[in-house]
Amino acid sequence: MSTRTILDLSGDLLEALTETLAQGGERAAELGRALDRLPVAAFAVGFGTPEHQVRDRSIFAGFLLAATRSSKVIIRADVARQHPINLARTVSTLSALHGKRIGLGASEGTEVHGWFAPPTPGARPSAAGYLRLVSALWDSWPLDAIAGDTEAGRYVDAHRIVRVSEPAYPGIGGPLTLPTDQTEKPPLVLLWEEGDRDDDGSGVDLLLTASGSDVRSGARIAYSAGDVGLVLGLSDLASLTTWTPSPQAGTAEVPTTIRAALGLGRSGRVARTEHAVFLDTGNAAQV
Amino acid sequence: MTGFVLNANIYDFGADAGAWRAPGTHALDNLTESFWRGVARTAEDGGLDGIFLADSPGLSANPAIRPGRMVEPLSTLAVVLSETTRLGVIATVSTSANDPVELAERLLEYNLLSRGRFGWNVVTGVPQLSLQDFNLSEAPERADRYARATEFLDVYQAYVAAVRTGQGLSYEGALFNYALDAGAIRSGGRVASFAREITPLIVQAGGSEQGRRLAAGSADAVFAAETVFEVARRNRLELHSMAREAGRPAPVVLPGVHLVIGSTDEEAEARFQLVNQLGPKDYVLRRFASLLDVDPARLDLEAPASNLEQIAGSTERGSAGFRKSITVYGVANSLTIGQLVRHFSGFGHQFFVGTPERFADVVEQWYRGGAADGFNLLFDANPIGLREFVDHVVPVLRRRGLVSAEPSHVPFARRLKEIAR
Repeated sequence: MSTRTILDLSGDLLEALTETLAQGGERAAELGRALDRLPVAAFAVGFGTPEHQVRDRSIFAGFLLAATRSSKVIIRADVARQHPINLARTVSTLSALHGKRIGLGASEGTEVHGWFAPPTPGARPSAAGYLRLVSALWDSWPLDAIAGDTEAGRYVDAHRIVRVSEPAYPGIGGPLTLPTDQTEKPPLVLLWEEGDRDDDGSGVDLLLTASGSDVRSGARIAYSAGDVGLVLGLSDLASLTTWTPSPQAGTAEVPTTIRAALGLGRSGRVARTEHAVFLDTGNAAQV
Repeated sequence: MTGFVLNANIYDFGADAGAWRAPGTHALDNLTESFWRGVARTAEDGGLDGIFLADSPGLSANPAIRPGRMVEPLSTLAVVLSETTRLGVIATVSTSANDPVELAERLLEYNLLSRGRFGWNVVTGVPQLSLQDFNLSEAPERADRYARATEFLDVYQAYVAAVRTGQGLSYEGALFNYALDAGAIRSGGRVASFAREITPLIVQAGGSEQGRRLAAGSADAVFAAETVFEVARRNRLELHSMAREAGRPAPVVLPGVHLVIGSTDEEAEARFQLVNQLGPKDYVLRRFASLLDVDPARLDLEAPASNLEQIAGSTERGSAGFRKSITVYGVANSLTIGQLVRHFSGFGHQFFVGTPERFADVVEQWYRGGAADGFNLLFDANPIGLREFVDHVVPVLRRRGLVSAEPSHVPFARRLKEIAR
């Protein structure tokens, strides 16, 4: 039974939320407070969207996170069209600015052959591989490489800024433009349908499989793993703001980070190989 | 309300390489929401029009030498918009690192969520370290970058038109091909209806001939790098003329100014020295040499700046606009190379160290003299430079009738498009 609920925001509900956030000011703040009060572990964005309409949701997430104080958000990646470098950078930025309240997800089996990944012998792009690449890119500049020594003038240990590699996407390796906390990376969530598992899902934090058995309030827990359930199908603002969890759910205390809210432990490195990109700090070309 | 525009280019810690070590600054400030909310509140309350974030899709410099341009602009500026009701934002996004339709979807959503307070600064580059990430085996020639940017913008405009009209997108070009029926357009509903009211501001900053042509053919506003009044005035006239020939409104022209303000000239100079000396040894000289594609050892600091034209290398590397503007400044003012390196000060924009009154004189001359519609301000250190500017310079500009006492509440993108004429 799911005790940590992820509520999906898609379709007309997402449209209504976008419209309210766009009004800014007190209307957006009021929505933010209402979302912060809901007893959910996180909101998912765009997982209920038909595949041919999937698009990047980081813009919406940025405004939602800015309007809320404690809500957590998992955005669905547009794995066929959004460059992993750009998305990794965006999610790392949002995670840093908003207290590690964002995660990233995808559906296995969706189209993954993007403009950024030309066919390469031996490379087998997949949604899981895409997520692993993003996570590896977060390893390209660890937050604890920042020295921040203003007296000595040492900002960062540059030798720890590296290019990484993920076999499914051999041409893409970073580094990113900003550091990411290795122990509190944005969690990776993958939705698996029966029979389409062409990847072992390694490196992904939550592998949610189809369940569809628990129907209530017009919504259904469509995917689950352990005590985490993803609810799809909420259709309007009223059903969202009045949503109540099952009696088994209990989250009296609101965790600070999304990893804690989802019951996940610390994250770790996933990059398999790496090499430093700033070996000669005196090189003018690197200025 | 005046037609004068003031944007702050928040270069993370500041325009100076030593800015992250400035008193009161912490190494992780630029990664915090409170930093950006503070910047937003200061700028809006202080009467500025917008916040601009420069960017490249990968690391363009070793952050151990000069940390900056770290956070992703669209994500960061959402905080600025959330904190404010009037302030505009301009985010830099590269045409070499995105798909035009996918990016157009994001920018139109941003347009709605910002309520028309958003501009896209179109840049074409990918840093050397990131070439492989974006399917490039070597740095593309400037002509190739601008050819892609021109077609990218054509696709973007075609997509915006498709969204506004509710029709499909059909585009066949040398680099991009799309055939999307109306049902395949993913920007619908409120995004589409708002795009019929306001579309994002298009901003361009290239100073090369290709960049100027792109600006004249597509931009509502131009970030200029001119450092000499007469050259800037001529540049603005030429941009206006080129735009009219293309059947477009004349873009708003906003030169950049790298500035250090003090209540006296001596105080400003002391502040400049304080922050500047916190930067890495010889950093400014090496960056100057890099911009000119010349070995720093070949620079005779006592020689006249006019010698630079003879020793400078390829113009393909680095910014053609900065390079042109900085060398023109040295010649126009009969500087030595050493004096010009100080004026360059690590950036290449017009560099000002002095009092609010003296800076207001420059602003007034350039604005009333037809060399600028406003300015893109780079402070030596953030947020202290921004705070000092709104506390001490904006009141002087208000007294001179340049900045309105009552700021405009017309959405930023619409206001700048209305100023364009």
